Amino acid sequence: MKSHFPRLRPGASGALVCLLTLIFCAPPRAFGRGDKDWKPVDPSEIALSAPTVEKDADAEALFWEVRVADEAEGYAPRTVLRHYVRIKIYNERGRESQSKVDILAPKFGGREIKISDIAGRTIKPDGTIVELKKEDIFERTVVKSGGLKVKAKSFAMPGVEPGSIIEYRWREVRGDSLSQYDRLEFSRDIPVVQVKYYIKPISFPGWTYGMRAQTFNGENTPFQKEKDGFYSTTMSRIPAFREEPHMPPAYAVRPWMLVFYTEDHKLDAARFWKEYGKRVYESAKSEMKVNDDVKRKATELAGDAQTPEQKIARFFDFCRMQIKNLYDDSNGMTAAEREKAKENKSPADTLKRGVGTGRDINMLFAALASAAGFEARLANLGDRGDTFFDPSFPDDYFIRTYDIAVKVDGQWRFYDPASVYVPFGMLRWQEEGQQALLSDPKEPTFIMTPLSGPEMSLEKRTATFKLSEDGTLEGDVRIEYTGHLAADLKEYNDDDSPAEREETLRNRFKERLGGAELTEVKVENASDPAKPFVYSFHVRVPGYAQRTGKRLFLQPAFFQKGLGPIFPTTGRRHSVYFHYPWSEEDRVEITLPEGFALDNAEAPAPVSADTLSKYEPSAGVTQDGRTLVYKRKFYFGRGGGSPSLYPPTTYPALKQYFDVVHKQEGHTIALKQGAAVSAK
Amino acid sequence: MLRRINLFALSLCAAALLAAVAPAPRPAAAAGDDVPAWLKSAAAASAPTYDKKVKAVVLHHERNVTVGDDGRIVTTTNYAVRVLTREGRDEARAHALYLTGSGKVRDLKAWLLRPNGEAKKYGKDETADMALSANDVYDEARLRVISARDDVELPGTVFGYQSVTEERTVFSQDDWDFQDDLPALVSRFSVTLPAGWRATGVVFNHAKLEPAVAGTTYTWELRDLPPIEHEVHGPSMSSLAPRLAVSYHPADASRAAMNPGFDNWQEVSRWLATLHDPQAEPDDALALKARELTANCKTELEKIAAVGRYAQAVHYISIQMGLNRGGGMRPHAAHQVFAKNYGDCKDKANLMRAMLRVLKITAYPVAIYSGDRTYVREEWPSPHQFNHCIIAVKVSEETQAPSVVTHPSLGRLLIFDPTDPNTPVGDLPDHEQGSWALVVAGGDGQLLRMPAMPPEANTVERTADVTLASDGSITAVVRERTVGQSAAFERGVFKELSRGDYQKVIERWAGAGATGAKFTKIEPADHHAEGRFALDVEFTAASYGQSMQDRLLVFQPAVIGRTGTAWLAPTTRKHPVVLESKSFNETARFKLPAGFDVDELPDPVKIDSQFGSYSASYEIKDGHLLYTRKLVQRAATIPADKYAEVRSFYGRVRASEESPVVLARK
Repeated sequence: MKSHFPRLRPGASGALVCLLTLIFCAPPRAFGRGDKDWKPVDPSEIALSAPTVEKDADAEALFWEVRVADEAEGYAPRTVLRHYVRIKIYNERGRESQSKVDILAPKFGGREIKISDIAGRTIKPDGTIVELKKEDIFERTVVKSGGLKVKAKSFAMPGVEPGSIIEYRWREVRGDSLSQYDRLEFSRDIPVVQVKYYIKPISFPGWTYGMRAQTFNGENTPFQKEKDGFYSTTMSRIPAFREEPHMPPAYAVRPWMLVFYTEDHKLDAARFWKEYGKRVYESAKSEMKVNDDVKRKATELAGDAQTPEQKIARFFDFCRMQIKNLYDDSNGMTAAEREKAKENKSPADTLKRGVGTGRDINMLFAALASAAGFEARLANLGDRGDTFFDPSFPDDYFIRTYDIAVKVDGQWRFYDPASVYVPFGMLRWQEEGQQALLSDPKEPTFIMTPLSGPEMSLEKRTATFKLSEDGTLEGDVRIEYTGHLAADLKEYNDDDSPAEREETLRNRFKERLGGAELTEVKVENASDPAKPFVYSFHVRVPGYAQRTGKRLFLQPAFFQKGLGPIFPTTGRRHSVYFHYPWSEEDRVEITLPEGFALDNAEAPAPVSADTLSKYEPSAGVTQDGRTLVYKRKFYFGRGGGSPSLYPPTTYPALKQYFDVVHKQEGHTIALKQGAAVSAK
Repeated sequence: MLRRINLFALSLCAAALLAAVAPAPRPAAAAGDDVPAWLKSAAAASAPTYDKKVKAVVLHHERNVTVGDDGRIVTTTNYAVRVLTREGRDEARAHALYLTGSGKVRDLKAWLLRPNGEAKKYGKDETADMALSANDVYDEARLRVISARDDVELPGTVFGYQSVTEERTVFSQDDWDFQDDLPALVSRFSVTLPAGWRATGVVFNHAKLEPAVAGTTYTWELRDLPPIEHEVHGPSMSSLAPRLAVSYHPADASRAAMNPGFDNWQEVSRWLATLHDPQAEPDDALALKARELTANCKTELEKIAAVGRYAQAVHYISIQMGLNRGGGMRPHAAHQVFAKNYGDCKDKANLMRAMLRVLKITAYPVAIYSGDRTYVREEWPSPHQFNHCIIAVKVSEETQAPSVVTHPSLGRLLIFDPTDPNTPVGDLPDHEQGSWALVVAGGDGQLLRMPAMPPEANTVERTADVTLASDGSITAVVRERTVGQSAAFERGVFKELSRGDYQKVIERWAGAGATGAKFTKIEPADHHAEGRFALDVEFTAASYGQSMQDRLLVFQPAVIGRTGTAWLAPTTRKHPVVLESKSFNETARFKLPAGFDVDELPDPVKIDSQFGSYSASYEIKDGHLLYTRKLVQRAATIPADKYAEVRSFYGRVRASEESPVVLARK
């Protein structure tokens, strides 16, 4: 993360929180720059025949300018943005993707975005210009509902063909707000030669806050002072943003800039976090308030628990399983019941009503722990499902999720009973391996939350099969999931009917084992907070093993058959990112058909990547030679306290490792009719 | 050319939008006696026990249409559904379609009857109003929607709504789907006409159904309709669900505000021609372009192809206005479309027609239903049966192409779809092949069966030269040549994706059977005009063959492109299997490693059936294995009771493609 951290506007005294509702005294002022002309088109732009940023681009933004002005119109704050983009079209794909434009203008509650002053034109390869006519700009209401209204202005650029340049601009007014924590993008779906932002912070007497801008994942120029109170920054040669499988969250890789207002004293990160952590401590103290009811409940729950950890586990299980999370979609409550639910003002309220928000549940847990004599604190941390938090950025914008830290046996441990499917000792994967700010009245500190090891998220599969002479495999299967794997599956399935859950499983099998017939399907514990998520079924797979004249060829890795390689392609732009470490354990028993025995059989080979990952397969036959027993253990992500993030330079090695494992999964064993039993 | 709204598409669209915009839930407004009697009665109905996959049952669905002789139509819809599963909660949704400018929703209200008897009423405050199509630049079709999804309690919640819409239209035809995939206990359509008018109706996918007539009110009703399960490679819902098509006939057609109903297809053709013909006038710029495009063309077909290619390249942009006055069926003037270089299907067909007119080649618009070749029925002459427009070009004997059909009075017509960017002149998109379509040629217009291509016109030809080393590694040189719709598919992938993404797709496809393949060449070549697509791929893959104790070497000779059979997973089937016409040929030549003999070869395979044939053979010669496989699949609709034969056929194909060759060290 690169921090320019410029302060764009000096100020005086005032309170930021008041800003959005503040009555401004500044006189209304037209924003218009009186600019009805387009920027000159350089002949070299018309002559361009190949992209300059990415060689295979279908179209390329030659420039993209946005002027962002925070101002007051009459008595209300607003942000006015003037957009202007010029795009070179290189081929038909570029024309298809770029020449139809929809500009959305939502209105929600009191906030409204208005679009106006749309203009556009196409410059054909021969230099002729086709203007976008006003009658070809259509306004439509996409949706209107309650307080929400989304309008769109849509148009198709006229006369576009490969080689054309299209350019269009429009004015956007965001009413009733300022650029507070706005995310300004530098990348688009096509590469951009240059992006330029002009930013004008608001200014009026008594205003103490300065606008700041923090850029992520890219290099922009230092802000330059421009005329009319604007400051400008540019970024050049920005590749198109494209998604890849197993990539970090978009905002951790694409270039963007956060703009926000803040006071001067936030500049020192250490000081900021210290003060912020103190404030969090003070505000959370009352939310964790212990009264007699809470004390009684803590005593009752602790009961005969022998260790501090046992006590905490009981509090955790109680809060997670006995208190309904108001916003959990599988809690059985209807929308009306949710609406009717009263606000809890204290942990005692939450305890009494048995229902609360996620924060209520966590605060009740903290209160129970406190009542039992533990030190409990609120800990703020980032969400690595959105982006990666870096404490050198002194603002709380990225650490708005929270857990409860409890000191157990002298160590701070983190808990989140509001997350229904996350077991004791773990956090949501988005919160594991993250810097958490432990609130404190004197010395708030950052502590890294633990990253659960691969053994905590286990996929355990067992199967007992019989193989027929014609290659048909038939038998019973059971698959159990724990940890993050179970939580993910429960989140996916808990809102589905039993039939839909069954269908989900069938579809998984259909994709890799066409012709597999599943019966007696059971999906267990799909919304149970505590138990493993379980699939069990009977399966018959005609033609599972391939029959030749005298042999049968059998892939013993039943659970991997038909799966493609995890990284099938050679190129990689972004880092590889696994959300969490995981492990797998398989045991497959296959009774061989009468008269067949192993033929020159070999066991698949183990593979490992130091301590990071290990693949351990084994295969053998029972003493009577009638049953093949295949076992497989695999884990990924052991070691290191940080999430599994692998830069593109390591992709070839990572791909090779997974390819080797995949190859071993496809290991085939030959069975020969009438052969002597032999195995190695 | 939008007029008829596909309810399934509508429900998807509405569900997606509603998820984002549903108004905040409110406490239940006591509905009490406000619940209408028809809804109370419907909610009390008992339904059969259905399969657990059936998510809801429609208890009552009724549409009452009142037609005024001034062209005003008032439609009242009553609907009640009982939700059976969690997925069925999405069915607790009311919707009313209207067209801005010519229609409005007078009233939309809904009720939720909980299992405990409590009732909740929904009205304006819970109603969302949204565009039917989020993608069109402009479309006057809109929806009013109420969703009670989040209020549904299981099991047994009943949701009902009543909508009243009003519209003015020139159309005197309507249609009614008695059901979609859900079972329906009562489904009823009724129309009340002005005095002296009469209505006629035809029912599809069901035995003949006579309306009950009382005065000028006609009612068609079906009861106890079972659920319809969607099956892969099955017929479309429009071929399975009973549906009604109705025409109204004014007492004095000459004085009616609405168009008179159409008695035959010539009348439909004449009417559509009045919308199309005036728009096909070329201007000078368009004429100049037409001549420029064809300056070097020597034959009629080359000229048509050049103009066709130009029309295909016009950017597809949909702007739908004046729908109830036929606006959805009238193209923009050809010179406007030419100047803007964008338009929709009818605009493209019309532009092409205007350009061909400059070249003295006659062409006609063709109204067709895109995406479902069984949708259009001969029995109901109506423009409402179509959602798409293509073109028929009158050609001489000199022009020979698979897409030429003979019209009884217009002669030889080359059918072409300029909206499909990937299917060249001479071919036709597969979803249009074999369907009924109306050639719009005034009084000569006629419903015509579109051409259906034989398997050899839709072919994949592949050769693979593979060198197998003793350690099991391979070096493969693959050449694939596709023709017809197979080429159109490959072209579509190639054109749609960036070069980098295309390479990834090919790597995934070719590497699926050869893990860790390293690609040294991926070279696509599009021969659009000839309807061909070429792809050359070269790669190496370590350990493709598996060594067993260094004595046996086992490998599968079908290196890439194995036949997908996932759709055959179910062991039984309710509906027929619909197969497309296609063929595939592969010749793979393996150079075998020195020091090995062939120990076992898979048995050759030869399968013949009414819908196709498959063969695979193996030959050893001069240290090489020659492996050939050939599939011919004919277009066919196979009854469900023959499903086992289809399953067995493709099961054997799959088994053959997975069969290994065993080499043994000498």
